[in-house]
Amino acid sequence: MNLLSALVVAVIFGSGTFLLLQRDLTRVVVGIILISNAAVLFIISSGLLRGAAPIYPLEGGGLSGEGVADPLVQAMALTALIIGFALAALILVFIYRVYASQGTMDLEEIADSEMRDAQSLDRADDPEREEVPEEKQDGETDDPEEETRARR
Amino acid sequence: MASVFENTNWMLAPILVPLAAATVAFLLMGIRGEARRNAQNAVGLAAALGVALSALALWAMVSGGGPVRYELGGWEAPLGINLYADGLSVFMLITTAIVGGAGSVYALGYFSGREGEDARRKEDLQDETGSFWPLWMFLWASMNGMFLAADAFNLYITLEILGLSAAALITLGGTRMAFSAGMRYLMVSLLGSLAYLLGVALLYGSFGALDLATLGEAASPIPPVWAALALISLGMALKTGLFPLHFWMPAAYTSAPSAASAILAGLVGKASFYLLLRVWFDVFGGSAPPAAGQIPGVLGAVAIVWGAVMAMRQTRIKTLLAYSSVSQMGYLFLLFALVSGAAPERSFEAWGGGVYLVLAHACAKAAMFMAAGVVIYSVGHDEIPRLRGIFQKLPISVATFAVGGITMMGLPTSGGFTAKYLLFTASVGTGQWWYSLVVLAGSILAALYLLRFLNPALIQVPTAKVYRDAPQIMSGTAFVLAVFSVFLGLMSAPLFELLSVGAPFPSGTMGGS
Repeated sequence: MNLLSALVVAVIFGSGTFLLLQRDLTRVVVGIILISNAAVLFIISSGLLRGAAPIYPLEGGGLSGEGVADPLVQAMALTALIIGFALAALILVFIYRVYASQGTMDLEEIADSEMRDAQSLDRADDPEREEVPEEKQDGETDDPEEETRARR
Repeated sequence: MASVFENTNWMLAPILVPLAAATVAFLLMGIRGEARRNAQNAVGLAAALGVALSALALWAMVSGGGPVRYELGGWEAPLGINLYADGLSVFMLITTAIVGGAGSVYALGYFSGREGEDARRKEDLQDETGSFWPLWMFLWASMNGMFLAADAFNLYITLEILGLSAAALITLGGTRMAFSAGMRYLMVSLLGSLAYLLGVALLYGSFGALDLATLGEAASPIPPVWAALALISLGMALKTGLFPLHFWMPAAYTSAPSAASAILAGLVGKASFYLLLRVWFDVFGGSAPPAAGQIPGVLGAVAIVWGAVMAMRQTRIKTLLAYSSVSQMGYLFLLFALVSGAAPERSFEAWGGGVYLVLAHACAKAAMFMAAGVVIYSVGHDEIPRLRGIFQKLPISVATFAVGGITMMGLPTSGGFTAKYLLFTASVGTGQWWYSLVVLAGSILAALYLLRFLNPALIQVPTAKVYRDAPQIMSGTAFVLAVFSVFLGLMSAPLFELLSVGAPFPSGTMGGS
């Protein structure tokens, strides 16, 4: 691996990590995509050597292949690219769905609304609550809105 | 040995059968209504049966003739792709066959709701598009592929398929929480596998090989290898949910439909743990500094206590179970510290104990998530304070919880007992007695957090109304799986014999006993 490719990988990876730590979901996704591309570049540079086309049967020394470019690196990079593409597509779909349901792309706002969801789970739309009479005796339902629903 | 077991083509079956079933089930999504459900159920059950049979065939093959290697397309290792099965691989295949088979049967009942039938919680709506079976079959194929893969890059590919299908399974319910949990899981899973990929690239750059056995021979204690070890461990700790990287776990396990939660908690976390186990001992066995195992060991010990304490504070069954998973996953990571202890003859005990806990915990935790699913299906929620006296209405589910709890606590005859006993003796035998205290404390804490649900569930008070009856097949499957996990302790001899085939440590006195 020469210095240039190492630097390129480092810069892309660093930018990706920086974006990953942002609050905005779009930036996070771009960060993930950058990191996955850095990983692909890293694979390529890990086995980078120029040589004859790796077509079987090799002209040089059989399977040990002196002076032949390493085909495995290219195969791996291609596979990793495709997988990265599929994952990026799926993450974008998820983010769209999250945006459509939460109305925001800000991670902290999403976390806040998740917290609210978790607390109000089953309370907002639970017609069965009044069928558990001992709940009220324990003083657990100090939420006035809930009690009115229970009385109804 | 029967001649039918000598054919190494059996190794393809655990991967190809679910893969084919996934494709067929996906195509069947085009049909509407009842016909699609019946057809998909038939395909799924046939695949579960096929995986179980091929796992048994591989068991006979491996315990009879040692580790098996299969060259795909007849190409040899440096160029071609190999499959490799040793005791650990077959053990994991059997684990998926048992838990996955039970999960498939459970899903028959879980997704059997008629369209338009009232469901209290949106996340437990019926699987209206029929997406469960294709996703679950892809997940199963990727897990089996991971257990049989012989080279580092194929492990990466199976890892990614695993993450993709698991993330989609989490969001099957289509609720807001499910989507944010699924998105978080997908990001975590992608980062974890990218860390693994970087590690693989480092290994390939250093030794020019991807085959695990070749890498294991070539690996030497040089800085790139340590960096690779650190990257791979970090990635897998992230995907397995080792403390403090477990942050995605409770939301993911809670917001998935219970049939999927059972599979996720029982199997998916274990698959990335298997990968770490495989790479750590097969590739880095000789070249990792012995102190490296202390890092996952200490984090695991913290996870045991932290997960249990958090589990005690939960008010919903499914989050309680998810934090209990954080705690139980901690036990698995103890083995990395224990095998590198002062007494090498104890290594197999620690390793085998950890691996055995994978099976025991998978069965028990899947059964308990299934039982939680029955509760949600029948009552419409899983909030513990509102489930007092639920034993009167759902006796089998509460019994499943109690019986599965026996394994969680590690009481005798359960698989959890065997595993934790081995971890305990290994920690005493290698002079790392402080880990034995954690093992004991974890069991006591497990009892405490399980009683948080069982105690209110068993009292005689007017209880919540059951507004629809769960199919018998759901509670029945959960109960059978829980009972199985309790008797695992009695069946350990043949399984440890299997594990000793191709194990990274000499089994010594343990193997045949």
